[in-house]
Amino acid sequence: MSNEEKQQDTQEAPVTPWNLAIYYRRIFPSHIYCKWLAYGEPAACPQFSQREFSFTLENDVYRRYLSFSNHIEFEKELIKMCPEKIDIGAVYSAKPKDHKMLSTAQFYPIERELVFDIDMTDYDDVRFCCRGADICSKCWTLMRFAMQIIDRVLHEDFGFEHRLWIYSGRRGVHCWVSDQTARELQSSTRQAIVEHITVINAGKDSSKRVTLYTPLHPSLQHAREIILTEFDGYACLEQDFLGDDQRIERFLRLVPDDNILFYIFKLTERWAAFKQHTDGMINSVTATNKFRKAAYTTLIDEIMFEYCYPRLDANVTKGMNHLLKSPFSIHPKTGRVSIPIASDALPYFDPCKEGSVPKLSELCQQVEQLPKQNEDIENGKTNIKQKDFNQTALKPFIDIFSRFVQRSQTSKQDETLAKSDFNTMLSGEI
Amino acid sequence: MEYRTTRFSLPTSSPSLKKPIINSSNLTSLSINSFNSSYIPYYDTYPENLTISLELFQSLSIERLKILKTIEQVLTRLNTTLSTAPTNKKDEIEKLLRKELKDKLNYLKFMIFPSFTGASSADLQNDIISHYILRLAFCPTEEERRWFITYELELFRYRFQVLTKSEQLNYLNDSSSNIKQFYELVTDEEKKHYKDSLISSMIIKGLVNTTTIAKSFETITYFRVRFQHVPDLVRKRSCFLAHGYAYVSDNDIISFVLQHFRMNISYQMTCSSKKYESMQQIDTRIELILKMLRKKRIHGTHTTMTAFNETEQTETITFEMLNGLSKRSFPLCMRYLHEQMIQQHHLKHLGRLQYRLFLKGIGLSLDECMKFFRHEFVTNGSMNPAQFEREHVYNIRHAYGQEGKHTSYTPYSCMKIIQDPPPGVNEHHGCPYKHWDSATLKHRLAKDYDINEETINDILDKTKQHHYQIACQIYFEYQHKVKNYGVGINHPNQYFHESRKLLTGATTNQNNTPQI
Ligand SMILES: [Zn+2]
Repeated sequence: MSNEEKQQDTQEAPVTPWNLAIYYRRIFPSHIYCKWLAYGEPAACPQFSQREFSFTLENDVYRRYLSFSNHIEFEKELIKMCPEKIDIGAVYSAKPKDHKMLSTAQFYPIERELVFDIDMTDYDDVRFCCRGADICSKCWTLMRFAMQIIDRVLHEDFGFEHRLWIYSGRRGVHCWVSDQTARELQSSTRQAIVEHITVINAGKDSSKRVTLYTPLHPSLQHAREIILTEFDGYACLEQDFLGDDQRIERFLRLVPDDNILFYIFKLTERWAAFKQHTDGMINSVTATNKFRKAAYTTLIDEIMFEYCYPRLDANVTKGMNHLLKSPFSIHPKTGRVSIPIASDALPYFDPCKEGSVPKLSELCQQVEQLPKQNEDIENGKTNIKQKDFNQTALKPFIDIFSRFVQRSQTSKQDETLAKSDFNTMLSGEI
Repeated sequence: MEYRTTRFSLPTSSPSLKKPIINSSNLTSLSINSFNSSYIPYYDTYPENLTISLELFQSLSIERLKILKTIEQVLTRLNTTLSTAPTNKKDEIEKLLRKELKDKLNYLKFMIFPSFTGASSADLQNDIISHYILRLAFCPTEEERRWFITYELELFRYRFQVLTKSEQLNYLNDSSSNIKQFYELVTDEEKKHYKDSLISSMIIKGLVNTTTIAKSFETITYFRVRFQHVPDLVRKRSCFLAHGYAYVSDNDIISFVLQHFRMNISYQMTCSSKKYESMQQIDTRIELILKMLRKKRIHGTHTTMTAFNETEQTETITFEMLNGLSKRSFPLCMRYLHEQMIQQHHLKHLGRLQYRLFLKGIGLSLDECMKFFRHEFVTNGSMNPAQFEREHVYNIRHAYGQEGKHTSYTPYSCMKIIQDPPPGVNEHHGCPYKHWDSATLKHRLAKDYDINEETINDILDKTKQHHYQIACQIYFEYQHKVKNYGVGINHPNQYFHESRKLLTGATTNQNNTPQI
């Protein structure tokens, strides 16, 4: 986060109840949002009415197991309760608001988007520009790697078509995979997917955590290509990852003992010299070097993966009933909106760039400046609202979201269509 | 291809399975000799309208239970499963299994010792009947269901692996099962197209040599299945994935077969458990046998927690005692969790689960447990009381069976801890011998726990051979200054219990030889 923003934090709270009220009344795209979660079913479908929502209210009051019969009730309650944060849970076998009256045999999760949560704090040992909740354009490269790598795996390997990437509003990204098959996955399969993607081992900070074997699994080969395109610039220039003794020490944990390194680290072009040395080791044919040679074969890849490969919060993905912050929720600390990222923008989206992520206070100013007449029209709230958000900085993001919702529902229709065709064929009516 | 009825002469009453779609694979031309093959049934047909004597009913079920129990014991002793064991260990397991069951089987002998002439229809009928009796016996509770499915799967795996390749293909190609709907053979053209990817996908942890694979590549048959149907291969990253499909070689196809078997059986058992509840008027003689089977399953297995929870609890433990106890009587996994809790005043979800249930198991009361967590998270840590109330009180009460469905959760056994997902960044649960790399383990044992070098090397040796529980036993013996203390560690709470027994001098005569 930039200094300027920190200053602003102290001047004015990023989130005020007043602003939230405006946001939910005039800007939040509840219509499309509910359409998304109903998955093309009619308004009162179980998909929507048995979905768990969780609202964080003022003073950290946390309300789990909320549910709403349809989008009208949702919108009404949203405006009434005015949550600081919205989380989305699973679709259950019954209405979550009734869960206290139900046994575990009656109340259990039946459906849930396959979700991923990547948080910058998990990278603290490999970024030297910021720590903790802070991010900057330099370390955001790690998120861009993660998004590109995981998005490709989900699409090309697992065949998922409907992936919604969301900037969380502070220091991470989420992905919502909404294909029917993804929503129906069992917990154990979700875990298998996480483990398939995971490369960085449990081990502790003090040891080498990535071990690769040649040839790399095709999925890792693709990841490698993605990292490789930017690695040198990112690691050497942006992070200066061999820049001081401490960083070199961190690096040396990954590397077999070698006297020559002492000389290498005296040079300015350390990474280039190191790579050259590694090449030399791999290509050397003397028998005495055989053991070392093996250790060096995958070394460069292992280093790149250690510094750049995605780190997932596995528990979020595994459990069907894990809550995850909703798209278009406001981040309570920064006032930023959790916005969708267009799928073709994954390689360059950067929330640290000025004006790239709308803030609650800005959006509220924008609607307040709108000519009054909009509010006088009495024919339907949504109508006014659509006009309102269309004139704010949120519009491009709502457009991305609408396109995503539209697409996932057309393919749903195709599916139903195909199914009915098949059925008619069977019954011989054609 | 109507083998089902001729083979078993039992009417089909399986939950309306769709007729298999016969695809034009060249496999259909392979012939199956239904009477003379060492074939494994699909267990998707209920043996209805079948009259057998009560004696046979009892003998068959006991014999099958004996097989499953023996598998359980062998795997526990070797601390592994057939699915995770490396090839050389698999041979060891199979050999041990045959040794243990030699001369002990009668009706079901062919399951473990298949003859060259294959199984007779009577054999297969016994196989199916015994399977269904145990299903009935073990369907009431989830714990029993899980146990039964786990070891039926291991048994199935054992039997599938001793089949020849063509017998395995026959199993996959039997049109009487719905299994054919779930895979397609990969055409030569597609195989050629993906050649490099297929070869790279087979190299797992450097176990297989690229050139060997490239040579034998031509002879490998590939199957295309939905990735959901081979979660084990997806997890290990040992199959090639494209557009939602996994490409599985004939060497790995067992993963798919097992998953199919698992899905069938667990689906059907959940259904029959509901049926069982309503089936109050079951013949009392049969009910007696089923009860006896349930008892026999538990008898002698020291992993059952009732022994630690209730009957043998002597000391009253308060949370202030945990620091001392953790040094003297906790296994390393719990000692480490305790220390992390004290140092960081926090534990991530899975660590909390593992530790909390252990604490419950050693007799820490709900009140004391609550005090302990509140003391660390709130008093010493940075969590505000409201957050603690919101996020942790319920969970702690839940673990003690005071919330939710009011079931008491059992503390994790070593097997569970070892097989569960490994700890990620900043997580501390798991089994140190399994989940820490040897450098970390060595460092901590020496620096943090002051263990001498000889013992450390012993421990590292065992962990390298994947004998995690034996490594734990060495740690136990070192901590208690005993040698060859003949109790296999298979549960953290058992570790604690043994430790208290040694340190407080109380000795109960515990019968450790499980028998059936
Ligand atoms: Zn940064």
